[in-house]
Amino acid sequence: MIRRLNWRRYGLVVVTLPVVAMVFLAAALAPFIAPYDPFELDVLMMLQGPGADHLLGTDELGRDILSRVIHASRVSIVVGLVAVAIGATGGTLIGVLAAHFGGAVDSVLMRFMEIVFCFPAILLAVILMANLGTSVLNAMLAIGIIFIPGFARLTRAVAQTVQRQSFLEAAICLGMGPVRLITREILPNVIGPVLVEAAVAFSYAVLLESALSFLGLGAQPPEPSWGNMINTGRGFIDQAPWISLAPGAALFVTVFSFNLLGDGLRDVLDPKLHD
Amino acid sequence: MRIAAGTPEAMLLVAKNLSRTFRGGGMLRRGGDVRALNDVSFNLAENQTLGIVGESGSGKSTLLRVILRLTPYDSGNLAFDGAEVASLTGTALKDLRRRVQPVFQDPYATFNPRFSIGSSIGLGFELLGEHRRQDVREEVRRLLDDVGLDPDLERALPHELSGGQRQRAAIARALAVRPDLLLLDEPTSALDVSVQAQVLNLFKDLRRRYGFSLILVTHDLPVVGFMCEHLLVMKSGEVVERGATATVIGNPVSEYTRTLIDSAPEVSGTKTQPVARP
Amino acid sequence: MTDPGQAAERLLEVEGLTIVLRHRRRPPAAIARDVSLHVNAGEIVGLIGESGSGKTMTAKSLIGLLPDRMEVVSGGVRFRGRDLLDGGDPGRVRGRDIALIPQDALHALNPVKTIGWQVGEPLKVHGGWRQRRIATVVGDLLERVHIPDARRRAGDYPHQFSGGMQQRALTAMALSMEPPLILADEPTTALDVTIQAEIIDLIGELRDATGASFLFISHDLALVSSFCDRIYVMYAGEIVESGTTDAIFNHTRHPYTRALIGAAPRLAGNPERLPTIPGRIPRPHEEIRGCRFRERCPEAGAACGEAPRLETAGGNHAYRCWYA
Repeated sequence: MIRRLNWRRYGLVVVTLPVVAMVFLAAALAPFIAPYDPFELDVLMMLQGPGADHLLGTDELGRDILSRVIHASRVSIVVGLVAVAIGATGGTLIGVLAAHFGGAVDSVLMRFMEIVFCFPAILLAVILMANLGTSVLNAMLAIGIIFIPGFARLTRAVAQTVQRQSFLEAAICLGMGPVRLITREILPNVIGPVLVEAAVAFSYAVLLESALSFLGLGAQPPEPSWGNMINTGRGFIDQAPWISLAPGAALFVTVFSFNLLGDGLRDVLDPKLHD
Repeated sequence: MRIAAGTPEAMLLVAKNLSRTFRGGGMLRRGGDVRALNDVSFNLAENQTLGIVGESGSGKSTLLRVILRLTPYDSGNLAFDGAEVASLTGTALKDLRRRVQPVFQDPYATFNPRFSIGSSIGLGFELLGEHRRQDVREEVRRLLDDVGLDPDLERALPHELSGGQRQRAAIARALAVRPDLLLLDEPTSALDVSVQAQVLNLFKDLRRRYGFSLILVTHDLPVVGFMCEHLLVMKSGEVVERGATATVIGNPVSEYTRTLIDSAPEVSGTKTQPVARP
Repeated sequence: MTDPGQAAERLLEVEGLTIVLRHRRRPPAAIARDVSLHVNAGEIVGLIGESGSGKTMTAKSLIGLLPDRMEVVSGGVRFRGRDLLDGGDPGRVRGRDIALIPQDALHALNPVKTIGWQVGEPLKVHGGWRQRRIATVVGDLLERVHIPDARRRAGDYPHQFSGGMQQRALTAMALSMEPPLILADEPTTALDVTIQAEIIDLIGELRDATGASFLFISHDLALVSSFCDRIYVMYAGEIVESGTTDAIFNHTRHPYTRALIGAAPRLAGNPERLPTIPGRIPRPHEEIRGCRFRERCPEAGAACGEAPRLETAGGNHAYRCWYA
């Protein structure tokens, strides 16, 4: 018997997941689905509008925009995944430790987080990249570090409420040590909100990477990324708006669907939304 | 029966001049320190039941947390089975953890919402060193049955249970490690009267079967009247009165105890307003 | 309502009230079934029941505060003969004719406004009064609920008040429009017993001083027995017994009422085991043939397959049981 779908709980995820999966698939299978080589120049075909040969047109060097948008998704996805992984792992660790041990440990860790938090994200990334050098790898690292305070604050808040619950005191009274207490009792309660935050952070990472590329700090040409494509298109916005619009649309759809996915995950992970 | 034979050996828990002060400086109490416990002394013999009664701010919850070693005491002595609680470390501390088990008030916060009831109860067995999954499961099912729950509820998540069911499951979790002393923090104040009656009866039945001592912390004097042989009345961190429950209730010495008794609503057919003393 | 003399002193009259919970996949479930009750002028009436009995929703329907998915499908509520359910704005009734003292004092007060401002709020909403006059009245109200140094403390914020004082302030707020009827929804459950006794005293005193009636909603039979004139006992959406406090406790008819009285522990002279009620209260959507208490009832018999009607035992005493 097919159970009826609980839309209140799964609706948003069911709708957004296909879009998200499509983005991931495009990134994974880029060489196979892109109609052209993204680096192949064709000076005779430059600045072509969308048409039968080039679905989304060509850029100022005659490269196929669709192929470049598809390939650029790889940079965005990889940067997003790695940056979120760095931010979530580091932040969760710091937040849980701060909440569990409290006192001086808490003060030192969180004051440090607040200092990092004080810098505007993009400025911090620029500063970090100026020191680390411009490359995709460094962009991932910089964005990941920016994410740490956000995750740390979130997990600390969640862990602190867990800390006050009587089930935690019951576990202490059963004789559980701090390591098991953290891994068994606290982390499972933190993981849900962290996943939700991760989906949103992912979209933000994609956005940040694009901004960095736009500023020339991320992926370096001719390597395509949505950010540097938008930047290139800037110069031709009157004659050939599609150069910027196509990667812009890809960026928008990706960011938007990951934000929705974050909301959807919140519903799915709430144990009280069972029917 | 080994009720207070008078020899120190028979005593499970001995508190002498326990004090605990919370440093003030908050916004509410202008800079002052709060004496949560002030010179508290009492004894609990093996297999005895003691009710600790007081209103909010009486220090009864702090006392309970001190006995569980969830919070330290500043001065005085607290001996569990002859050993000073504050100085316990390592295996001795683990042993105390096992032998003293709490059942908390809020049935909604009492279980980790992410785990099934069975796995939360099974944890106790695992910490005792029982690791064979099948054995743990059988023990859990037996315990659930003992506390009057359907053993199949082992798979249920906490939010799928009613308040009364959750409190029964919390009792099962506490009993899993075979404690010598059960500390109950307002265990029925969130429950309906008819459910409360079931849970209180259950404590009596289980005590007969498992033979543990019991401390019941509550604001509800009639519940102590039903459950406990001995009674400790607390106010503002101090012990106001103590003795056998029947004696204290029948013949209160302190003014405060009398007020508590007069304020306690009791089922009666005659309209007698509870007497308030502002 | 054949006797006009009796009708004159009836303040609130609820008749055959049925409230349902709409559900998308299940048929609507009745939260309250055919509930009839009345409150006379100057009376303190208790409406008691355990969780799931429908007492809270019955009370909320009186002032139009039912949650979205709940709805009154039949029956009537009359206040001084005026129909409250027949269209009209429930906001007009709220506060002015029927006021509410809510359960959770701390959450019922806005933490960023002073106590005085909040107690005066109904006067502004309903009366459109001047500021200075409001301040005087607020001071009087706070004095009436025995807040020491009332005029000065009107400027305090809720967190500066203890739980009992907050509940007094809410009571003052309910009194502000001098409503003839006040609904008190478990106003003492969060309070210490000595403070609870003070609030109960206060309610009795206010009734004597202002002639206001109280409908006191509670799960605590013992508490209600100490000060209510009459009591309605609800079980699974139905009123199973009603009568004077004396009738309910000394001439109990319904097995559920009897079980509830027995289940409460006493200060002294308790039995070795408390009598209990087996099973649990049925959920609203569970269809039960016959008496809704039948499956848990120690006295159930063959007749219980058919739903009993509310029988009158003389005077105000009524019960819903074939064997009582």
